[in-house]
Amino acid sequence: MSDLVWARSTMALSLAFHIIFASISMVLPFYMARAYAIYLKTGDPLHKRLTKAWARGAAVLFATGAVSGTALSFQLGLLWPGFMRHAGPIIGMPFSLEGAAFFLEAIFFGLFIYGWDRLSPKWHLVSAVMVGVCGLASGVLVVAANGWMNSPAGFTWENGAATNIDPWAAMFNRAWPLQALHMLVAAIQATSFAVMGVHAWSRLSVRGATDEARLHEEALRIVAPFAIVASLLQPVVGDLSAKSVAERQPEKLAAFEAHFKTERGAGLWIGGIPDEENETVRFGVQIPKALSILAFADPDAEVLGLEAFPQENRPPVLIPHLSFQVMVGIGSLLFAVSGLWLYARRFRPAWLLHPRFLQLLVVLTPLGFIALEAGWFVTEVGRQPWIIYGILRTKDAVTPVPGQWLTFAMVALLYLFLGVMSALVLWRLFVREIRSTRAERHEPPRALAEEGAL
Amino acid sequence: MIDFWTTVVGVYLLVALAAYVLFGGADFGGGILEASLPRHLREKLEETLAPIWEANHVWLIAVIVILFVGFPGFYSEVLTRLYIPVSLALLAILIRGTFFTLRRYDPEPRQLGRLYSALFRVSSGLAPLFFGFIAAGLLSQHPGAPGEVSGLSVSEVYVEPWLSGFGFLIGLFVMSLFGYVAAALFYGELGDAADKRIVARRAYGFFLATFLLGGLVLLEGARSGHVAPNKALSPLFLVSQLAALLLIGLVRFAFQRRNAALVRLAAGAQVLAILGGFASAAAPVLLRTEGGELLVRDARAPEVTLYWLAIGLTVVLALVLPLLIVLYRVFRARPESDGPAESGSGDYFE
Repeated sequence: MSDLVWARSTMALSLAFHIIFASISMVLPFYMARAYAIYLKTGDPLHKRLTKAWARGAAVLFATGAVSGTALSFQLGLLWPGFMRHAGPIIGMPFSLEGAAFFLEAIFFGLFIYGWDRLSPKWHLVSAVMVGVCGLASGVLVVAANGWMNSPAGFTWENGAATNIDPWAAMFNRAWPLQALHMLVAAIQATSFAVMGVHAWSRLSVRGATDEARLHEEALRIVAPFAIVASLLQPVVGDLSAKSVAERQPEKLAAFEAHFKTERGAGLWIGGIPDEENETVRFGVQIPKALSILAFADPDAEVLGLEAFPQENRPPVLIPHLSFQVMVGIGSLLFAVSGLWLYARRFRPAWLLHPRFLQLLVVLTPLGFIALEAGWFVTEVGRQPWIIYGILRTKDAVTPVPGQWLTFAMVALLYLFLGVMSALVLWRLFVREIRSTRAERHEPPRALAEEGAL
Repeated sequence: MIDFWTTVVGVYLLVALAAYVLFGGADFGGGILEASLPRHLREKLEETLAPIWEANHVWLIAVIVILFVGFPGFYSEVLTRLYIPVSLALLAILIRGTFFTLRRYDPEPRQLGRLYSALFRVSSGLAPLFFGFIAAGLLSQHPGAPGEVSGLSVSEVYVEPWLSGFGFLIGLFVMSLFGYVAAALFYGELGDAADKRIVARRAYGFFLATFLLGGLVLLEGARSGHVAPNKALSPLFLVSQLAALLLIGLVRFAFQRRNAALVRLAAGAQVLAILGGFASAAAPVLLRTEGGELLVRDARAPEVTLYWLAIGLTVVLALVLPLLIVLYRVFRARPESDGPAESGSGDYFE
């Protein structure tokens, strides 16, 4: 593989790693705040424990998200100096504001986690809510930079350099609002189903109406509305996003729909393996006219196929198409499950805590995140060969430093190590939570004390 | 001639860098200092750092964002030429941040506590060492020309400019400087007189090492041609270093009086004087290459970007600073009521 492909792989891996932690630390604080608000209102110690359990998890995830985010701010320049040289001054506004939002998030997080006996309940709750608000803000802001790469604005490109820079026009590019909304809803969806899966699994592992059982039921009750609302909303947002892509980046749409020939009344592929050489799709089912409807809300609208674009400007088809299928498939499944949840809530309340339903939730645990990662593969691979759409090619932005496979190997090993260790500690925290519920025992998390005794 | 908005952004860059050296530096220094402290003080140190470490490290993100928005030509050039030491520093930052947190939260530390501590301490020491190599790389003369490295060997471009005894000495210098900052900051968290004496002794040790190493850095820099003698002997440089040296008298006085606030103030002023002196020795040429110098005016962003960046940073600072002060105040330890024995026993969340 070439250095370019290795550099792209390193970037993809770093973003894919960071985005999990970033999404969770955007959304989890809201559950935390909700549980804490209930505790403050009712005085129910169960909700206090739930708040603390989520806060501990959030603290570990937030730390990993923070360090991997710091790494990304360097990696932009380490891997793509040719991009940052041009893009930095143009999309600096959202990046600076994102940095500010993150700064505030870190401050509020410190205040919440360590402020139990030092802040008044009111300000303590405010700090919990602000962690979430600042997290969301930083997520929305950083997507503005990505939106700009898809829909460059706020500059004139002359002789390989940007002039007439307008940072605000760049920030408020056309791709931003929908992309940000799509990502926001996806983060809520992914985090909520993951957290519900974990609590459903725990609920299944206890018998009877114990305190512990009630803890997990309460957790499910708090998180479910987030999951349901997001999952019902997402198909609408996704549809609007696809229409926006059809208009702004027709070759990206053609790539993820594996649409090779320009035609009116274009059909939509369900599944299928695109064959880029012969410009066909194998093993897929095609729904007539559906693509024209999806892209332009008109069954006879013309949809440009990849053939309409010069070879050197065409994105790869295989990865975007498969990723798109995965994303839409999972989105539909989560939509259906949410419909089922609403039905059960109205007509069959007993279903909600039925073991079968809980088992279903356990199965769904990773799906939201798989869909979220798949979605980013669609948009990032679908933008190739451009790093700034229509302006700068990825191959012209990559670092001249050779041996990029080595960077990839190191980053992969490091993130594997950090991921495994974080997962282990999260798991232990979780198990301890269950155990301490059983025995009402509290062991302070002390590493140094143990170490000193050795 | 450097215009007004470039200057404003440049000042913010130096402020963010100084904040990172003071607060982030105390954090790195904490990892270094930790290894030399008795157990009960280690715990106390960890408790001091835990609530604020993430906020401390956001200063680094501020430095990076200001660089790539305000001085993109410099950012791209440096991250290309110093790819290796920057990547290594990053690796150390990632490892120490993660394992500091994991050590704190792992409910069964019996198994892995030593691994966490070892990784945290070693990477806390390595990160400043790589910062030193980066600094050496910034002061060195690079082959090729700005933005032009074709036709040169890998080692010539990506290794030789930073991998030197000069870089190693700066690394040791930064390590001891960070250790000093940590000791001075930590001193104020302690109530017990014996504890205070231990930490004050560490602070003197680190300070002595910092000054000796600073001298060696200058000698080696002059010998190897990294620091031009006229720059090292510039009045601004000499005055700042002399001020830093003399301030140790004030630090000593503050230690004797057990005035923690004065210790921090004086030590902070020392660090800023040392840093400012070295910054003045490096400016105004951002990077020297055989094919020419990379000057501020070539590396900076267009004026409109700098203008909005300056405004944005002002607003951000106005928002962040009061909250940061609240954060530090809320977590100021209560040495009189909270002895080390007591504070080492609680659940962090109760």
